[in-house]
Amino acid sequence: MRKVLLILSFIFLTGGWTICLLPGRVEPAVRNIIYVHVPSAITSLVCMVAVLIGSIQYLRTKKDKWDFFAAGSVEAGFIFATVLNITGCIFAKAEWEVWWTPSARLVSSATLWFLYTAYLILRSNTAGKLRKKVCAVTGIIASVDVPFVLISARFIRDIHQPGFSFETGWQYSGLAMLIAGSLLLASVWVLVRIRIFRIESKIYDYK
Amino acid sequence: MKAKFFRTISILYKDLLCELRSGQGIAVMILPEILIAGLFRISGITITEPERLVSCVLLVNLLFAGILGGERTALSEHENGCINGLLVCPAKSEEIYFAKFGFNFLLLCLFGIIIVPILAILFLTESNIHLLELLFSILLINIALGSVVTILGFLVYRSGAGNSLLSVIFIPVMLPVFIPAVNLITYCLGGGDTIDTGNKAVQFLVCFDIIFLTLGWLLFDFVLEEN
Repeated sequence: MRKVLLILSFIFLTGGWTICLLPGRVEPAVRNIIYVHVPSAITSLVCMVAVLIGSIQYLRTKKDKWDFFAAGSVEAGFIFATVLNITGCIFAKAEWEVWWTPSARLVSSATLWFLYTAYLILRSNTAGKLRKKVCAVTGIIASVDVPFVLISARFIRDIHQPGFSFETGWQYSGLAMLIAGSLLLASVWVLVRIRIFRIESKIYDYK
Repeated sequence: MKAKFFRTISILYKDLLCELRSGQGIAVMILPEILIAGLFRISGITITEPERLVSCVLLVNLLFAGILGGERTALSEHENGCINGLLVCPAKSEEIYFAKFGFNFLLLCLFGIIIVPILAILFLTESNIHLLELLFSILLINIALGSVVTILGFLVYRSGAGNSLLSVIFIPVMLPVFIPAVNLITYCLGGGDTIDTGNKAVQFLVCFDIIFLTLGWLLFDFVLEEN
């Protein structure tokens, strides 16, 4: 299953990048970072939904697999949120001449990154069965907070607007392929991490 | 229903009595915040929008007061093993949650009553304050702070991760409250924002309060239960 998803993600990402950088190219060149930025944003948000599902299911069923699923999703979400913020800073510099501005989207993405970081810090500082419960509660609180983050960011005085939009079908299709490839890559990460957590859990039980 | 209410009030009364006897909680909250406000004033920064600056300083103060208060609420139960007494008492977890939330909320309201006049004296030269709206706004913000810090404080202490982690998780969760709250309090202090922005901020805060109070009520049982 993991191998199939990995191959599929490779196909989507390679195909997407080929389309985006050739017929779907945006001018100037630095704006093409939007093809990394948008898939990262969507993937990190989807990972947060996965964290919510995993956390609720763990509290409901007390089965470890749901805790592993939530933890793996947090790690994948953290990686994509980091990419999101870095590409956001690069895009902001190119568009608005500042590395960071209190724009609605940049504030939302920064808060998303902090929520993921808080979960990971809490998880690494807690041990045993209590860790799973603590992380599940934290995951639910963080996930429920995300829609509020997105809505509240609209209250910020947003003086900057993106200066372009996609026009051709190539650009949209390339972006769609990259989004699909990113989601598949995140799911591969989650599956690999679930397997590693299972093995760690067995080793811990033997000890 | 009546019994639930009385159990909640009993736990709240116990916390208030301890706080009145020791006085540590409110002192720990008030003094650093007055220093922070004073530091902003003496820093010599140019104040072009005093109402917006006061709203920011007030929210920073409320945030840190919330963290300190939440830490004290959780710490006071965990030191000397008082948490075991709380767990074996006949109160259910939701009653304990609402009692602790009530205590944090009252402490933050008391803090707000003390700090708002101080900030007004330090920063505002002209006063066009909508007092009722300001009190209502601070009430909504304190409900949000109290509901989140109560569950997160207990969560961090039960995890054994150390009290410094409370701020790590509390601040990102509270950030969506503070963004509209800045606009709302600026309007209440007579600043440039319109009543329309204020109304939207109030609706947002009410939504946040309801959802996170419900979340705290549902999840507190999992935080308290033994393994």
